[in-house]
Amino acid sequence: MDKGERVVVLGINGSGKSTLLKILNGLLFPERGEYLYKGERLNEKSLRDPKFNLRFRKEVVLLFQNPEVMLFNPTVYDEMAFGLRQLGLKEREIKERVLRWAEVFGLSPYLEKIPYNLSRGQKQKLCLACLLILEPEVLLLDEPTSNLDPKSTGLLIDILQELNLTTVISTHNLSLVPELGNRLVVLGEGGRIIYDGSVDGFFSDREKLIEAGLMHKHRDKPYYHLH
Amino acid sequence: MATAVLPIKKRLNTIKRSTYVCLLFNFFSFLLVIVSSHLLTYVSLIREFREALKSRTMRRLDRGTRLNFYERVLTFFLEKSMHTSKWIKEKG
Repeated sequence: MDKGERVVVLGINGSGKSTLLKILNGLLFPERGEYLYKGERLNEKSLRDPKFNLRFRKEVVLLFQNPEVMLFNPTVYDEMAFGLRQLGLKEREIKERVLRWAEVFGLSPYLEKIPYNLSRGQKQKLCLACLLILEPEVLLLDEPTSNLDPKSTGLLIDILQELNLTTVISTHNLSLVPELGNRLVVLGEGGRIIYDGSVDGFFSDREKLIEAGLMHKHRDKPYYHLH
Repeated sequence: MATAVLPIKKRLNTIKRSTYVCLLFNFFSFLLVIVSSHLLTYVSLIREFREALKSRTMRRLDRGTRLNFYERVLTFFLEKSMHTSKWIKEKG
């Protein structure tokens, strides 16, 4: 992957989209092959080095499919400040950044609230804010629009296009693919890559759509929502 | 006369016992399925919680943060169990 590239990962349930994202985030390690991040091999040993771990966890962030598992701090403010405090920033700068990102995601009225009492969509936005506040270089998103209403989905797309980060997004929502990325990777059964190329190239290839389980052979349109 | 009645009684008792055993077996296998499916869900959720924490951890966490995390996991599972039992009650 090149810097600034926006990759969308598509695939049916169980094809390994989440596993791929977890490997890219250094949570799981591949049985075969290797993963290089900025030329350095990523494995359990390299992540045990505190300096490398600090740099990697700050630069490569992952939004989990289930936002519930990411939230555990007593208030929304603390949740957003969690990563910044680990980076050793001064409390004044932390506050300034938290207020700025809370404003972007419409979370300002909830800063003193308990994070897990928010709605599912707000939790998703809070998790995303917690990641973007770190100013990462690589953003990994596991089905980021699954809990969002159309307005919030639009906001997410606008933010992603504005930030111009390297992103890897897994999604079920085919209609959003052209807006989310410029490169498409399609996983088939058993995690096999069946397509890697431009978005347009894939959607005009009927055979590939059928092979990926994204279109039935008796239909003439792909399933735009796989849920 | 008595010898003719006894086998029927015995047979009835056997049928009764078999019915009870069968019902008990069904009940316990149902319980086992419910408990094991919940256990599997909980195990995978705990793994997700731990992975999410690992993903957001850049330095060694202090005691307070770790306590917050364990408290959250515990309340999450208590809430989930209550929600599930309510759902089972509603569905009968």
